[in-house]
Amino acid sequence: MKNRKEKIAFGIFQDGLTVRVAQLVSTNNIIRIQRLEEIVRSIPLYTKESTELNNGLEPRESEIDIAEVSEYDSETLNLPEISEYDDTSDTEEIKKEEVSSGIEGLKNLLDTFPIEKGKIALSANDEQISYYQFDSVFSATNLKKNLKSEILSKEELKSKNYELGYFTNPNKSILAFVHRGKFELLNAFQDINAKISKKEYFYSFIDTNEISLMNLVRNNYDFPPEDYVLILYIDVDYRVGIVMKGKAHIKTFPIIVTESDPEGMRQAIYSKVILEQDVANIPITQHVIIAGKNVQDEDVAFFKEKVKSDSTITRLELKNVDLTGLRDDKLLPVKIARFAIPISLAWKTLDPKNKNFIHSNLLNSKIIESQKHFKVAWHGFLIFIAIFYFAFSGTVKNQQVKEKIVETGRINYNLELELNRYRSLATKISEVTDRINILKKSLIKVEELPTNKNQWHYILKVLSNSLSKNRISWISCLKSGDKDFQISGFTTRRKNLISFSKLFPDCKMAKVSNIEIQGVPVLEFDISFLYPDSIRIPKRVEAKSPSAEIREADISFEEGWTTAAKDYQKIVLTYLSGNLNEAFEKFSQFVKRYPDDPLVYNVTYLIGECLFQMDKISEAKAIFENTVKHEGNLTPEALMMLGRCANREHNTDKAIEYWDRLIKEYPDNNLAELAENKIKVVRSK
Amino acid sequence: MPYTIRNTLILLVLLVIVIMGGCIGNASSSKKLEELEKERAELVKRVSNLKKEMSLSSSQDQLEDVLKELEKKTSESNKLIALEDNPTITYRYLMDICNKYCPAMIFDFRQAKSGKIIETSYNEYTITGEVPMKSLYAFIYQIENQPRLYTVESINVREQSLDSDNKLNFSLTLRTYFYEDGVEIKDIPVRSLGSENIRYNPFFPGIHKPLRSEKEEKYLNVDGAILTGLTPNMAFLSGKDGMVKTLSPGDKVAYGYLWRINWEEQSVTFRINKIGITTKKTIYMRKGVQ
Repeated sequence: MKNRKEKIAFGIFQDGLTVRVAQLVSTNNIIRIQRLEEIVRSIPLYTKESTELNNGLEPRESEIDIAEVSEYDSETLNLPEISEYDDTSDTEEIKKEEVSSGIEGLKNLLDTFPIEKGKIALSANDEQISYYQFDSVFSATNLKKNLKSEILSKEELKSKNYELGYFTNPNKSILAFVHRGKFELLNAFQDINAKISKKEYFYSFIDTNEISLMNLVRNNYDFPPEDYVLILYIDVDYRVGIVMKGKAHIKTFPIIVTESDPEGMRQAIYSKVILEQDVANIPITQHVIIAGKNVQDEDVAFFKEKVKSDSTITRLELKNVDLTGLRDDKLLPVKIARFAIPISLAWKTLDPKNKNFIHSNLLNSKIIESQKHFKVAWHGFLIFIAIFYFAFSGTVKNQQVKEKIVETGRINYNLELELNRYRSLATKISEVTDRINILKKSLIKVEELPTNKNQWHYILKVLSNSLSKNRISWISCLKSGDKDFQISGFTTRRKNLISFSKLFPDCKMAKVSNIEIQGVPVLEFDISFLYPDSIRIPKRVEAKSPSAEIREADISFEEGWTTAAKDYQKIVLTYLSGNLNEAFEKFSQFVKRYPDDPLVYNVTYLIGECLFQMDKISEAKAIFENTVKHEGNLTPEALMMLGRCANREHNTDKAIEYWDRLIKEYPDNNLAELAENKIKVVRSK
Repeated sequence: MPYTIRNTLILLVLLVIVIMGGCIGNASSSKKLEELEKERAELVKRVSNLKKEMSLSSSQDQLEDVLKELEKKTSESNKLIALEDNPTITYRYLMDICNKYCPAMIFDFRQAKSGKIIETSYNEYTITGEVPMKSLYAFIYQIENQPRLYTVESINVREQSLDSDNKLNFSLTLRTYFYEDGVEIKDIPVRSLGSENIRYNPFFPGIHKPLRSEKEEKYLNVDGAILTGLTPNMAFLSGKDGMVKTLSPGDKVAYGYLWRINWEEQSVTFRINKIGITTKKTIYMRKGVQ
């Protein structure tokens, strides 16, 4: 599995016709040198003329002024080599080929590297760099601006054909450096990029060679702060000595060597170092680190021999980097010294937050900014604001509409409910109205029809009650007529006939004769009555507990009833609904209001029931005893209640006596069965 | 292409999407709102129309009050004329009543006549039979109190015969009304009236011809008996068969019991119930029965 944290960086160092590339990889914060390659070209990347021709490839801000460059650092220029190639041809064709061949070799080298997958750090051309050493004369604020005004002329500032870099030493002194002109190596990379890849290369920074070397020493060695360190870098063109004190930069001096044999070169370099030491009057050879092209053991040995014995003379070594990726172990120390600058460049790219690295960058800020993926320009910000505005306003508006939708939906729901309710009510009303209409018609019909004879149950009941009280009497024939009905019967007492005559309206005593039946003298009678008025027939009220079911027949009002009968029905409803106190009051008022009404008999009995249920036993008993004495149709009920009163008073014998009397005197009454059950229950206790 | 331009383009596309999305979303919501508002207007109109139709524009309470009033009126009516009638319907109805309230009611049923009174048709049925008094009463009670309009137009009940197992002869004419605007039979409720009994049978003869009972005949028949001896507490009576029996007050004789011994008058008095009522019969020493 590929490690997601793997980062690749390339350090590119150009020294004359030599270009060195170092590929370093950072995996989980471990930096490893993966590959080191170099190419020595036969011609430079660009000549002055070729640069002019190269305009089609990459627009240039300004041309390199070789004369200007040479003015700053003429000693390090290897002009003869350049002029050697420049002089070969004058024709444009040849110049194009040269341009092509100048970067062709680099292109071929870069082809072998996954350049587009990593970040690129480039070395600045030392010939175009000027260094300025300042003691702490500038304040930290507006430092760069002050440096610019100090170092650069107005023309230069106006031309913008420069890059300024600097770093502050621990002793607050400042080393500033200015790169004037174009970055040839960067241009070459951009040209190559355009040719070989659609993906743009990512450039992390451009550093001077001195800073790269100092970075490497600062990051790999830990010298005492007061010790002087001399970095001797001897390459093809770039040959310098860098003096550091601890980690601070002291001075840089060029090393010009004209000898070509190694021994002569070593001697010349040593002479230069000693000269610089004498001039500066500081022990710059306390620690000497040698790097550059082909730093051999003999070179180290030579300097060890020359310099004092307490000095440390070493070839540049890398301690804090993984070297396992490089196989040619024998040449590795030499290779490390030769690739010191590209390694430093790549290393800084992979570990930008390392405090040992000097944080300078000569890369144009425009390029840096242009490489930022999420960089947003002013127009981007405008659009961003527009997006925010539209999104916000759209959301707010949508929210408002949705709130309205919810509100309207709720209102609609309530309206639908209301509509359904009205519909339901309308349907109900319609149904009920239809029913009412039918019923009304039916009632009208019923009233119109001659149905006054439809009271035989009442007639039979009245006759039964009366004959049971007026013994010995019986009916031999009951016969109905159109307008009246006739009763024929016998009785043993004359006064019974008077009672019978009051049973129904318009009594007509047709015949009364004395006869004997089985030797017993009896009165034979024929009586006729008109049919009773139905409105005078009270509905039967069951003697039952308030919790008992209210029967439909009991609660319905008869059309045309008397006020007393209606009031009676209403009070009975109150009583049956369980509201005893109110019923008692109303029953009492009824007796006062209608003292002569036949219903008073029923009402009095019901007052007794109320009192019984209100636990006023003695008062209830008095009423029930009166009811029994009256010998009306409620006598069985009164006997039952008297039994219950006695039972409530724990007088079991008396209770049984009442219930026994009920059974014997009214064996056919429904209450007789109830009385039997009560006796059984009482006796079983 | 510089990243800034690219990012600007991306943002531009995003802006277009946001604007389009916002427009589409808002348009959709606005359309939905518009539909809901139309629906609301329609509902308001329908509710308003319904209120007008029902003449109940003020409040729902009034509507419910009207409904309650109507229902109350409905419940007040207790007699309904049926939509139709025929002998089958009536016979089935009568059988339902008998099965439920008076199973002993066995009767003959026949249609007597049909006619029309005040634009209302009627059928008359004659019912005759011999039934216990309780059943007859329960039957009439149910007929007259159930919501369906049946009237007992005529009735003829005769004294109960002692030989007819406590049943009495009856004959009654039932009339049922029906008309085209009447209530469907299935919509006429059957009221639960409970069983209704009559307390006393007024057709049972209080005095009747002497009953003859084999069981009673085993005892001393005081008719023709002779008081042959007497003590203050005991009486000696000779029956028709010549056998002498000794009786004390309260002792059983045929159809009665020895009520008392009258030592002063040298007689015994019996209470005898042979004809429905209790009669006293006194037998004197030597004088015979009085």
